[in-house]
Amino acid sequence: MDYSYIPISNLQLLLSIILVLLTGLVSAFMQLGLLKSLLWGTIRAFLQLTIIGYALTFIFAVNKLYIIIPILLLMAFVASREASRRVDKAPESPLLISFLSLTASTFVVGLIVVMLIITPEPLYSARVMIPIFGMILGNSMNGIALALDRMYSEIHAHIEEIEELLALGASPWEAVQDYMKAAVKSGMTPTINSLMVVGLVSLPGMMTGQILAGMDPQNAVRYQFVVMIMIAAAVAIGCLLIVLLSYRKLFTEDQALIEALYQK
Amino acid sequence: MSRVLEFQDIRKSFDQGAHYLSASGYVDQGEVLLIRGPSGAGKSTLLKILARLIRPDQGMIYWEGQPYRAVDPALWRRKIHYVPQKAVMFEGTVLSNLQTPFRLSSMSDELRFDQEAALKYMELLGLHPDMLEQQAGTLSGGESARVALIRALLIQPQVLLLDEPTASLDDERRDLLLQVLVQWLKEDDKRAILMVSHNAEDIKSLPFYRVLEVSMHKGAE
Repeated sequence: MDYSYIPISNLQLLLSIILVLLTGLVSAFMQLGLLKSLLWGTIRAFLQLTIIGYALTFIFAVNKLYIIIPILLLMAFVASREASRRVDKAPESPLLISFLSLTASTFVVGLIVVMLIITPEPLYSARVMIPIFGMILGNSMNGIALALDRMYSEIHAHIEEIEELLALGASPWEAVQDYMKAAVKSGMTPTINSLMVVGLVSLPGMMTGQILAGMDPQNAVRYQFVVMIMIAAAVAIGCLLIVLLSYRKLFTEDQALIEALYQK
Repeated sequence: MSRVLEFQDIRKSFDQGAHYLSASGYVDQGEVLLIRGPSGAGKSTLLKILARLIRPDQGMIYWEGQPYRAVDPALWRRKIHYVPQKAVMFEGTVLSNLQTPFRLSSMSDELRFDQEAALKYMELLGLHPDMLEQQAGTLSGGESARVALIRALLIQPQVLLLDEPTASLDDERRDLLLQVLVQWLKEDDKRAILMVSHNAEDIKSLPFYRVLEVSMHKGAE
């Protein structure tokens, strides 16, 4: 693969401050009071990206599984913390089940993509695994947060129906299955919708990046296609897992709804 | 008369222990136990505890001498069946609502939906047979309450836990409903009813009943 990308020099990077100034002018002109946040955000983005740049350079150079796996797990942990933070109706923090669902779905799909489809040399190339797993995690995180949020909303909205079904002799799953399906569907819908419009409305970031890096568009498209369906698969598995793991926690050992659900 | 349902030292606290419900009692075969008490006394909660829809903090419940933990919850809830004050109707027709319990796995093959029995109960309760095809969401409160009772009767419970079953009915329909309940009790001598009711007229129609007074206590915990 012979890429010919145009590097950005330090001076050119400095010139990008023009863009920050433009953003600042908008804020000042409209008196949005965002200048401080903008400045802080710009500094943070620069520092974070610089650090991650050095870190990735180091990790790619070492390229050992004992470094790659903990990093992937750390990424999964951060993503699950973010996903559970977004779910405010859960009676208890869904951090652990988020972590389990995200890790399982990301590793299953990520390993299929890396080991069977991209097949880098060596197979556990950090340069391939970290960005691929990162893309899966970022999208699955949104999916499971949506699914969980929807699941609790549905349960709260239909608590009397669920109780009635239980009273009629339903098993816990029978009592909530319609709402669980709605939750998984809600988590998967944005990803499916993005499959419909990709390439028509926008060029995805990864594909754009590869084209800028000199890859010919047809190859970039192949990568993008694999990434899209990989994300869809990971989101589907992640949503299914999180709903299956959460639904048990909705019920007592007596197969009745837990009381915390009545109080929220 | 043999004891159908017995509950001992049931205790359930509310508002982090600021109040608690405490109750003991029993119902024998062929009997109606009226549960009475001021609003907020925990009468509905007691019924839900007996249906195992809410777990008590302590206490024991026995069904024909068996402790509740020894019985599968789904079987328990069908046999000791709770009917809420506000009837719950699912999406679909009245017929589909009446068939709902028969689609559940726990029902298996032991009991099948009996449309004739459904129609008979509808007639006894003053509901037109054409209503079977009506969307359940369009029913009035009183109609829903009667459909919910029919759904309960069709699954052949042994004990009915009824929360204000006549609350949404006029006098005439209330009498019909109570007649159906009395008749239901007589059909099988193993049956019993626990009923929350504020209505003095309800009691007049019941030939055999006892009263259990329930009240909320200030928390000692």
